[in-house]
Amino acid sequence: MRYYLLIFCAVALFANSSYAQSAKLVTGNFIDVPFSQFVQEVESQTGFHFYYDSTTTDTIKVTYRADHEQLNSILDGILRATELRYSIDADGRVFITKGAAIYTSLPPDFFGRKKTRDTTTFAVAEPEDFEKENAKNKLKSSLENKLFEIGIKTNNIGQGTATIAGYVRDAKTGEAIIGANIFTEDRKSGTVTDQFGYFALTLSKGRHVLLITSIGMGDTRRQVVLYSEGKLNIELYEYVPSLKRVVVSADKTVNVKGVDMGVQKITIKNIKQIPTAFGEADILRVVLSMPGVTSVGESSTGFNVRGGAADENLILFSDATIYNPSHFFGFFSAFNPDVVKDVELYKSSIPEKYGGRLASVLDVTSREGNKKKFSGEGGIGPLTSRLTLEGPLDSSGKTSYIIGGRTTYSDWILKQIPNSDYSRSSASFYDVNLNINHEFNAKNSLYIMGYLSQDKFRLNSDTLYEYSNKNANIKWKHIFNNKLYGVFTGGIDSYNFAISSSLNPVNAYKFAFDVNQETFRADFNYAPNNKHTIDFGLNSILYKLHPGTYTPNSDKSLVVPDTVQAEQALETAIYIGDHYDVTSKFSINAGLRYSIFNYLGPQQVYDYAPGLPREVGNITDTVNYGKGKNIKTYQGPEIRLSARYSLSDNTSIKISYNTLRQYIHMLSNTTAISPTDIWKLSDQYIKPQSGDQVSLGFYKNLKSNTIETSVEVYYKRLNNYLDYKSGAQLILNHHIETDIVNAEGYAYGAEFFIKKTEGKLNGWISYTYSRTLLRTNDPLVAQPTNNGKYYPSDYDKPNILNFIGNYRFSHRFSISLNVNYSTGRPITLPVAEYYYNGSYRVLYSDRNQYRIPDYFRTDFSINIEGSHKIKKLAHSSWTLGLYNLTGRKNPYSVYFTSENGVVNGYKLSIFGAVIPFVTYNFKF
Amino acid sequence: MKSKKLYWVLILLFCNCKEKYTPPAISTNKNYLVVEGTIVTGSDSTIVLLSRTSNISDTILPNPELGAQVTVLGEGNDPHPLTETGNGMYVSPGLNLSINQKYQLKISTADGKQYLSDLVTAKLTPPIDSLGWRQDSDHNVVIYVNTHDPANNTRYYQWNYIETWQYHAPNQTLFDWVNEQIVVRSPDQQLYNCWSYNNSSSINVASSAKLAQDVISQAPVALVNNSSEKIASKYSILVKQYALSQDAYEFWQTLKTTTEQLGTLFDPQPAQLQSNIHCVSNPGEVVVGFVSVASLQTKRIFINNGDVNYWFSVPYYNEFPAHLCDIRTVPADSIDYFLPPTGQRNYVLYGQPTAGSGYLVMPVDCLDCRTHGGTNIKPSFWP
Repeated sequence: MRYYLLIFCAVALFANSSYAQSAKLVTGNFIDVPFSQFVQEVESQTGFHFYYDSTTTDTIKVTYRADHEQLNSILDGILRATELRYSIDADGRVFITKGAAIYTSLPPDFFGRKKTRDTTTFAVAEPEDFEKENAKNKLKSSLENKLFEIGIKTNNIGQGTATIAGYVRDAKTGEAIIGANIFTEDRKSGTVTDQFGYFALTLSKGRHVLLITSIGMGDTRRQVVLYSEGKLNIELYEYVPSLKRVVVSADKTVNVKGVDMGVQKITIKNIKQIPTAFGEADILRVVLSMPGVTSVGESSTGFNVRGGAADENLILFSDATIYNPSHFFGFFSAFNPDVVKDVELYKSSIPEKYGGRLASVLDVTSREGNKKKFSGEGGIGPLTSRLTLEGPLDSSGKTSYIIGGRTTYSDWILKQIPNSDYSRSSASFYDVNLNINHEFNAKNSLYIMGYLSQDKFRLNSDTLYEYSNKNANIKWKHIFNNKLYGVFTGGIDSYNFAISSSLNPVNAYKFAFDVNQETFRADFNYAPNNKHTIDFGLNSILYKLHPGTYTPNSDKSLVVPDTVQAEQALETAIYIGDHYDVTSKFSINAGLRYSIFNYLGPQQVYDYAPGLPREVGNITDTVNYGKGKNIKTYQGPEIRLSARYSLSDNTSIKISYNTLRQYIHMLSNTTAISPTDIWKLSDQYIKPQSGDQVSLGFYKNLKSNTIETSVEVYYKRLNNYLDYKSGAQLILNHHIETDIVNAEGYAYGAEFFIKKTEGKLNGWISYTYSRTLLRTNDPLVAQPTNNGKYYPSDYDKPNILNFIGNYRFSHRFSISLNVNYSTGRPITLPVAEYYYNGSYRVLYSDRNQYRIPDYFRTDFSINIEGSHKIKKLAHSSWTLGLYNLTGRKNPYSVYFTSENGVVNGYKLSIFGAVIPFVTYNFKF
Repeated sequence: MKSKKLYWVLILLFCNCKEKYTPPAISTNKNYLVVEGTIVTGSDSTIVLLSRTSNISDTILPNPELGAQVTVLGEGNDPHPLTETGNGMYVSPGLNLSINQKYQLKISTADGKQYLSDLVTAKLTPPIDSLGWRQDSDHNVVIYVNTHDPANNTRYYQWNYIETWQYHAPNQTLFDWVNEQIVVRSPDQQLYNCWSYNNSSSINVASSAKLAQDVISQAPVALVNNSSEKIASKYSILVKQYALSQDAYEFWQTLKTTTEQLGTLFDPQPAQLQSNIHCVSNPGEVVVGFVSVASLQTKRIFINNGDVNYWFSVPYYNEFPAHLCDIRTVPADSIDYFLPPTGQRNYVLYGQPTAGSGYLVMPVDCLDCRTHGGTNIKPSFWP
């Protein structure tokens, strides 16, 4: 068929398709005649010549009465109820085809090198790119100008609406594009692709122009005629900004048009441009440069979103919960940048499908394997190396895989240090990712992911620290119809750590902790019409925690095994949310999530005398609950509301209100969270944390939407925040409730954000003013922190300014600059000094009343790419950079310690010098 | 768990970024009472030190609490008063209290306030089984203690120590200049051999609470840095062992964490210390300190220079300016200037020239080891 098409297209190239049809009218009365007979008759009356496959037409009997009628209306009539389609070209040839009408002409400039009228014209930076660019451009523009007929073609376009659905994919790899915007030219209707690149859009029947935009991809459009429900798959090309390009900007309007607030999305491509300490693209470092995100220090794993504690972030990696997202005690993030596709941080409007954490959702999406060809990429850096392979598993391109691994040789570096302490220490980590996806048919797809990360650190041939994340899940997506689809996910997530020592055989021990969860989700998306998109579903998590197991680690060890009772609980939530476009200017997202938490046996529970402080001395009774027995239930609704009103095409205001609940908590009384912090479920004494947030934002795009600006303000309340008694014992505590104190807090702030998305210079500047204040409000605590008054949280940094910029000189050469400034974090300084046990010592009083000096850091990197010749064995690039360009000794902490009888004050910096780095990356 | 050191390694890997820091001047005038001391049950003396906290920037330290009345009270209100010996020190000779009885400390300060500790059960401290030492990977000497309680009752232990070491002056003189005459120094007047003392200044506690038997195996109590002068000749350490209650152990552990173990990546929040001493008239008043009641056990070991490996001590006098210790020949008529009959002498008589007249002297630093901080009196326990 393609062969025919090409021949005829060539002939028809410059012809006009309205070939004097008026002169060739057909008259005849056909009653139950075979199609071939009908053709003979028409050919004899007119100059038309038919081309068809007799096997597809031999079942058709024609019954039609024509009186000086045009051929196309006759064919419309007789083929309406069949799968056959026709087209008539300029030379009077009639093509009868099954399924879709063939397209009888190509765009006028198909063979020309003239500039197209298309908005996304590519000028060419370098000669070798010319052919490739031009070819791509031709293909693109031909698709853009082609009229797609959706549904069963009818002679007259009916009234009412129909739904068009399909996938948006990357033309090069076949990978789904998430969060692509599809909307009509008049912007009255639109939708966004889901995590599978799937969309469904209900429109009035008839002719539409759909605009499709996505971050990092070139914008495109599709001409469609909507007859009835049907499919449209769209492929997007990667957007390569070029030097001489005339930017006629298309519509980057997500931030203004979307209803969601406080959402930051960043693609891996942007992440890879940002310089980091060891040259390894690091997702968490980039998250830290977003407005509203703070941390206690630069090596810390934990990040704090709008005043939330570090355990209040739900970190999802392809829908798997990652409990510890870092390697090497926080110096590297646990996500291999080659496997990651993009990262989305929800700070304010958290979609109702997510729950279980108070502050934010960090959704890290992993890539799908290339469906079209085998390829790979990797990198070699000063401390780590990585390799990722991907490709189709079968020739049909329905199954693909991606497998990525990363490891460190920091062990080797430790050995080079001429100090026996280090040379007998060892450190290592690795992570492995595997994703497989398979498309059974247009309605059913399967996605499988597996993730494993492992860290080990052995000090001085003795104490060994190990921690590991293990995650796997399987997702089945089923499209019921164009309006309704569902995703069913089952998965297991696990995190464990262990500390062991065997140097002294008598004391040799091993301490182990683990948290495991089995999850099931059913998420549905229903788009009944173009005004409403409804999400609903069910999430369920079965938790099993082993809070601590302490065992002997040698035959001679006298350690008595000690195990804190395992904890188990079931968290179930149902949710429903509606995205409702009230008018073209006003949209709302209204969601409700109802979560139920059951703390389950077997468990031995202590009762405490009512009204008295929870202390061991006040235990009145011990109650045993059997396996699976419900010990305590917490439940409550969570509200997710947001609304957007467009003031103009590129200006909008939004408001949102959210409430959240959290049933699992990290216990940590160190300033920075450490890999040896344990998690604890809510139980009969430890209430779920809850919080609510109201936020208001103003969004405006400038310069044809190439510059996005926004201002968001928020106010947030936190309840049942966890604090600890002085000297609290968190590990191996059989009655942790005696050491935990309830606290509450509030946070507020304003975030200013300017982002330039296109052009030689792109990047963002953000400024955040925010405060987070906490206080102990537990009536059962005799000596509350700071006497029950509000005090700044550890991560309360009022002023934060971040700049991230990339300047592209050419396709092959770009530079990046990263500037961070923040107020120093709060710290508790000693208020008095005294002499005790042979040494001067300091006395602390009110918590966090002073601050360490301000933080300022600049990083710089140069990215050099190899030539872009398409026929090359491997494409390589070099990244050279300087971390902490000014060499400033940014304080991580200030502390006082008694040494040889006297008190010394120190300022500790982690990266106190300029750190140069080089990484080599390759792709094949 | 040895986590603290671990994080140091990580930091040092990336940079040596510890700088001195002077805090902003914080004047809060907190003037809290500080009570230190263990009520010793046996025949050893009980010493209680009373002082006050002072501002960080204050230079006058310590700030002793004078003129207080300190009494050990038994459950039957059987009072044992302590005697003030100055500098905030209140002492009683052996109290010979009974084990498993409860005792408390009562303090009446000069400003009229009364402080009472909780009633604390006297604990019997088991004897130290042995003291040992080994050299670690950097060839420092680590002194460790082994002990056990066959009754499995003690569980929490604290150690303090006194180190003593011998050293000598660069040169030895046998003579002294007394009453305008050369005399031979008696052994207790010798200036060549000295002994220095050092009290422990860090907190050493350990627990066997997680073990099947009440055994403390090789708990490190002291560390002598490699090539330190302490083992240049002969070194001795006396370790004192006290049994602790669980509360006392937690107090010491918190004090150690918040005053000695900071500076890691994962520092704890500074915590308030739980004291078992309270102001009677104002229970909310902060009092620093924890009173324990226990018997005392001690043990001493010696380490000779010949016992240790890789020990390359540099004598303190190698730092002296060149020619400082050259012998000066002083004419007889000038000897009073160098060795005045009364007052401070900057020189010491070394001898008489074998030919000619006058006297030979050297600066005091070259002949008198006491200028380096020690005493020339040989301790009674020294062999």
